[in-house]
Amino acid sequence: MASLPKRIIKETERLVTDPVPGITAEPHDDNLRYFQVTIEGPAGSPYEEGLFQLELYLPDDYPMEAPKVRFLTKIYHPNIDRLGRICLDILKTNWSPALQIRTVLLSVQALLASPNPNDPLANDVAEDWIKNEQGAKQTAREWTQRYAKK
Amino acid sequence: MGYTGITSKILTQKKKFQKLIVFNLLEACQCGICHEFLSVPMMISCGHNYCYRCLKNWFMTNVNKELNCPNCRESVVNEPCLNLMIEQTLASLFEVLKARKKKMFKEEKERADLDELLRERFDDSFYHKNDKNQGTLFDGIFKNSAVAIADADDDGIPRCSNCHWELEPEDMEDENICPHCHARIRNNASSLGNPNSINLNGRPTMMGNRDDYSDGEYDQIVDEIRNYNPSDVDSSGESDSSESVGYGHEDREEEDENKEEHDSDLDSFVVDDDEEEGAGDSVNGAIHLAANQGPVNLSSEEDKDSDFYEHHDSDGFVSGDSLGESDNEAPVIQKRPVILDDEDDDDEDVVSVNQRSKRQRRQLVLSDDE
Repeated sequence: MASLPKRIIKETERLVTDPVPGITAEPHDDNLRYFQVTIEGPAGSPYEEGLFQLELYLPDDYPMEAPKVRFLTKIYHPNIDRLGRICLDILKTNWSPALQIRTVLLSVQALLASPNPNDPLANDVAEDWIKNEQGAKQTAREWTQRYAKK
Repeated sequence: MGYTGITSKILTQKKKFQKLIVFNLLEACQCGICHEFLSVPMMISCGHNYCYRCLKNWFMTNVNKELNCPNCRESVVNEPCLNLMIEQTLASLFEVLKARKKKMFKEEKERADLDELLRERFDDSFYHKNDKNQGTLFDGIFKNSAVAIADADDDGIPRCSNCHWELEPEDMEDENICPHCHARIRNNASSLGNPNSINLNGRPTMMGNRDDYSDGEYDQIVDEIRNYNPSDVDSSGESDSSESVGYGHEDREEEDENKEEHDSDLDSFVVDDDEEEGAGDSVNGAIHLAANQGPVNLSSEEDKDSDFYEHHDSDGFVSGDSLGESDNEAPVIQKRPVILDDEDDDDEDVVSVNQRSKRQRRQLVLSDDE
């Protein structure tokens, strides 16, 4: 494997020494571009009390290319589909090399706090969210209890 | 060296406070892309700085997208320019590190890391110089692309600056290229609220080649640009004063031929000399002078030539003392381009006044255009 860019080493070090509250990210022993991530559900959201597992991969072109991030824990959210793929602009067209692992994960956490059913990835969830927000949030809470229990 | 004012205040503060200041300054000199000290810092019109190599890589990925600042996402309409102040500041910083290497870096590994970093910085500066010589700065993106321009007289419809084709938002969704001439559009056409939203720094800009314009039209536009004086303060009426501004576009071809002469302004930052103090001073000088930037009156350059030799020692360094003395004199402004001068000049004992001023005019163009 080609040597790891210094920026990635620096970022990894800082994630350990100065972690983001509610977020952990640890590189895999065999592949330092592959991170095991956990995000706590934000307080006040239907995901409160949940601990979500994610995977994050830094492609070869990182930081020119966005990291690949995916939920491993099942989650009921209009912008996250059944495969855990996330609909977030900064991970696609609005990526910028000034962003980094920690800011990306903070954005994902913010997405949990404020779902955007008008730009859906999981259409059925988004429809449910728009038609019956209270019911959808209840489902999200139940899923959190069932799949993301700490 | 005598310090006064805020500088002296800071230097007599407690260590802890000084550390904080140093830390903040060092943080400010980091590239937001590679998280290292800026190497060949290039400044975008929004004011953010990145390494030349990092910024070029960013512009070259997503080939058909608009160009924007990684930090604030402002459209990058104009070619970023070298931030001389940061370049010189960091050059003197690394000189200090190099000189104190044995004391500061006890471990073999640390020294090896420093050496590698210095080597990389040297490579980067060579890489930039090479691109500049070849006329391929930023892979020629700023030569080969266009800008969406909305003209209030034309109902504010965004048009391609290259072919004047109307840029419909729906055509620009997937690729930010002109559907007609296929030029990459550097800014975002749909975000053009009004013609002023493109930041051309108040200066008329010319895109494209002579061939893109009808007979006479090109020359007319060039004339307009050349006679444009942003300050319009310099009303002394010298014929030269209009030439001092807006040179860049017409002289571009000529400039390429002369690249070798003046490309090496980077050389002077690679301080190969123990005179840290001198280097530090010239940085201060540059700060001071940069603040005084104004229309440079080239016609009076000749008077200053004798000054030039007085204030420069044989190695091409501006001696700190002489700079300090002349700080209060207005003519310092005229010497601004001289500081960027390459070292070669100082080896030439006899330079005719005419040649000199001509060369300095070109240098002005360069520093403007870069």
